[in-house]
Amino acid sequence: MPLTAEEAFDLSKQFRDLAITLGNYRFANWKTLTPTQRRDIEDEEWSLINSSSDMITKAVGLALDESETSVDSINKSAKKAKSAIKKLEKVSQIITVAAAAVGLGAAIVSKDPGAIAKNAKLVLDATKTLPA
Amino acid sequence: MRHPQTSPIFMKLKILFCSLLLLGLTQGCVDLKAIQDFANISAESAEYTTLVDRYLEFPNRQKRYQPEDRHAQLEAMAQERLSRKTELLLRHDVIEEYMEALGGLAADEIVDQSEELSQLTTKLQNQAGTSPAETEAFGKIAGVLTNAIGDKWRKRQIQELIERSNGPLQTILNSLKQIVVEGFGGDDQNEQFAIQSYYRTKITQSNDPAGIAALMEWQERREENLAAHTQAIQAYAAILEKISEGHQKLYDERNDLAKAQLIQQIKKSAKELKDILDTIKKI
Repeated sequence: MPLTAEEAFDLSKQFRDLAITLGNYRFANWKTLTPTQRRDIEDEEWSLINSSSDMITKAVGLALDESETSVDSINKSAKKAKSAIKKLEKVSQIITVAAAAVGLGAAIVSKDPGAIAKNAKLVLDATKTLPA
Repeated sequence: MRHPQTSPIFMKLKILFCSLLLLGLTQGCVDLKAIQDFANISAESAEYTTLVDRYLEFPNRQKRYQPEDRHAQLEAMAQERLSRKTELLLRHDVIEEYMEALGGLAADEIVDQSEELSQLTTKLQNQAGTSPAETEAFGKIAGVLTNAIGDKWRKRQIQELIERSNGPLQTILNSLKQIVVEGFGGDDQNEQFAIQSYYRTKITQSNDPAGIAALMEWQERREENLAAHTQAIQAYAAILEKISEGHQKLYDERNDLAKAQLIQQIKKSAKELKDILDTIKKI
């Protein structure tokens, strides 16, 4: 079973905890340890802390892999939204709607029910030309 | 066909009728300023990539403390981290891009067509049988209707955007938060270990009081720098949490973006985000 980002982060903590435990032991027993023993323990501490850092590198990579699909999805959404903004910025579509709205206003003022209905439909049709 | 003479009462009725019509059409116009502010500050927050640089530099900083025979391993680690730099930065970029798009849709400017409407009114003035009062009234009606239609369109676009994006956005924000807290935060803990181990070993081995004092001073300085970085990590994690919470609220209430309680919450989220961003920039 492949490792998950969460498991890799957990392992990095365990390596770090072991390095800290060894370090505490080395300083607590400094006087009773021989120089060689101190050096050997210190060497193990660096191995453990580097294993922890390596595991972090691995975990970050896994977290990136695990969210890759979502990144693609958001990218598409953002592009679609930005393209929609550009579409709405096209003045001609707005003018079509505005002109139809003015026609509706004129029909309302003239109290002509047929013209009101006709122009209301034009407003509706013009609105449909706006990008979905 | 003879049109009836326009009386003051008839004019009032016309105005009342038009007002009712406009009222009906403009119902549901939404104040999107709060969403725009929230999206803009979220986009600005996502631009902060200093932590990524420090993550990439971590193995090289470790060389200060670790024996030379460890340097090759640290260089390999640096290479591996560097190979994911683009993907790491992409998480920031994608949140920024998305928030810019959301903010753009929520911005009033995209439906401000006052100049075009003014040209339309001028054209009407030249039409036979249109009185100046009517021209002015038509222009106003056109303006209100255009804005109402634009607002309605924007609202629908925002609803759809929030609806289809919330799931993947939450995944990216959670993943980035995990990387920041456990990855970058884990690096800080490892660096703390390295600083303490290195200086404590040197200090314990030394018999020179002046040398010990200098070493202690350096240790303190390194630890202060590291503490500031840890503070930046915590602040950035809080930023990601606020963006996540704010967007979730928008998603939960996407069918009623005009809800007063939602607007208040989003305004509060934007304010909190700005405060944290100001803090992190000072670190």
